[in-house]
Amino acid sequence: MTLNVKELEVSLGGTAIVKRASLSCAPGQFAMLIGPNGAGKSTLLKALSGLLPSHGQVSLKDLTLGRTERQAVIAYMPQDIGPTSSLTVLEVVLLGRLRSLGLSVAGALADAAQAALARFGLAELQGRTLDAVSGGQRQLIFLAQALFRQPDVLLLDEPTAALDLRHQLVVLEAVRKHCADHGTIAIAAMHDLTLAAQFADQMICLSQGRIEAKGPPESVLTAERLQRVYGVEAEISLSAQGRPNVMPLRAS
Amino acid sequence: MSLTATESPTYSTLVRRRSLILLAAAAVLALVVVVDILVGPAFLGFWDVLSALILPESQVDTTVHVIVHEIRLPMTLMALLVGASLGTAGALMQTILGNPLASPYTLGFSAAAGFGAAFAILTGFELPLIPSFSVPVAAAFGGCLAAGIVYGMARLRGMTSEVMILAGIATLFMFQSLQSLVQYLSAPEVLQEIIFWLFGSLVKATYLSVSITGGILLFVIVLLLPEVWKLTALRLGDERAQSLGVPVERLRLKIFTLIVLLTAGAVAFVGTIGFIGLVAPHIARMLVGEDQRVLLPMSAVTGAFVMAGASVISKLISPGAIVPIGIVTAVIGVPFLFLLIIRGRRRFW
Repeated sequence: MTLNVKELEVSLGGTAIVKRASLSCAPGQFAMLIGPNGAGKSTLLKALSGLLPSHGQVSLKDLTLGRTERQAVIAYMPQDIGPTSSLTVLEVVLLGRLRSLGLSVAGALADAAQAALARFGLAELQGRTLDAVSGGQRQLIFLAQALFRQPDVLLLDEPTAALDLRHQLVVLEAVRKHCADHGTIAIAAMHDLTLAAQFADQMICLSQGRIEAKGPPESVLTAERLQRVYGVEAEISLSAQGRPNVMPLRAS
Repeated sequence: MSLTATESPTYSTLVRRRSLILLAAAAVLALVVVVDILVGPAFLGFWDVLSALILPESQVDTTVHVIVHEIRLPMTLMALLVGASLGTAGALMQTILGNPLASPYTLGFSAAAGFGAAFAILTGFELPLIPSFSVPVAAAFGGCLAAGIVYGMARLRGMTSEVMILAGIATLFMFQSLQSLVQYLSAPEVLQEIIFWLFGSLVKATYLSVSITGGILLFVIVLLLPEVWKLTALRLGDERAQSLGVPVERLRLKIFTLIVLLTAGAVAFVGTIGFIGLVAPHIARMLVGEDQRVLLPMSAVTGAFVMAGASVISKLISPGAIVPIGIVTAVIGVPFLFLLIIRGRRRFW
């Protein structure tokens, strides 16, 4: 169930935001999308999920998917921490399987939604309203919703942005485990390069709408590339696990 | 930021609690309905009304039978249906536009219906075959015209809530001005008739108008059933709803059309009732939350309660007379809403 993207182009208001982007992700792979602000990461993810119109080809299991078909099999989690609303936390998670919901909610479905929350230690919040939980909790709740949906492809836009250190690791470990267990492909836009490198099976570097590099983290995260793409002088070392650690030194 | 979960009610407890609140509200509504049938300018006794309701026509005094069956019952049924229609329309409008101030009134539908009615009264417009429906049809046409304008604007700039609200408010002001123009041009006796229609009144309710309003409400409910969870998803915002597989623009168009039907069916026969569509959904939301499976029926029950309560008050204010209901709907709804805002722990939006 490989995800193949060929020559994807997205224009907004007549301006090309993503230019001829091609990439490929194997089943169970966790890919990290990196690049400076304005590089087109969010736009690329939205176009992949079918939220934005695009040109080019997106295929899964060798089947080319149109915008509507993509919305059915690709889950997208936006980068904002979500709206405040008086929906309860469990209702938000249940919405992940919108097509299975009827006038009454089957007990098994509600149990599964509770289990999805329990994975992040949030089962006790199930009856609380969304406006009564913190921003970080909302982020975890929406991730629980995305995983509960059991999509073929999971697109996460800065999933750790509102989280503390521990919960950043909790989220990324949960996504990695979900990918390994279910063969789901996940692509996350990230700003923390060291954290991204720890979890990435593949890194995709985007610059000015074009894919500048893709491959294993150690081949993508080079001092020269960070200088060119981010305009940052950085020192790269390797961790005990052979993953790159990025130490930014100064903006050039 | 603490991510520690603390004790909160389980979801199944909440679902049970909401169902009980809905049932309790329906019971209170039933009580108000009984009071509304009992109260009236004819000062009939409790047993007179009861016997007229349950005994065959031959065993009841003809005057009592006519008052109960031809005047009070249609008025009460109309109050229920109009309240339920406007409550549902308001809840739908607030949900699809994501705005707590949205209602058929604030988006100009009611003002346009008022203009349609006023114009028909001023010009003496009469429909062939069904002349008694001339003003209601003109009012419904006015409401649909306003909806068409809002929809047309939205088609040009995208079916976003911002465009629709802005277009709706502009439409409200335009039709209010046109209403004023018609009133300015009217002779005193015509003006009196127009103003009476604009106040909103149940006195012209008949079983035929009740059937039409009720039929529209039933039709809309059937079409709403498959959409309740999609509407709930809309409360997470357009982007999140769309990413969950909700066809946001198509859903918004469908619901918008249903709102127009509900509003036209309600205001055509009773006139401008502005308050219920705005406030009933807020009261309902504070009591049962955002799950549209419960919120929509609760909004309908709340709207019907406010309308039936207002009907009772309209008959008690001036003994022997019925004050137009549009004048008193806010009197019963506002104190209840304020009480919920002050005492409620739940956010009202």
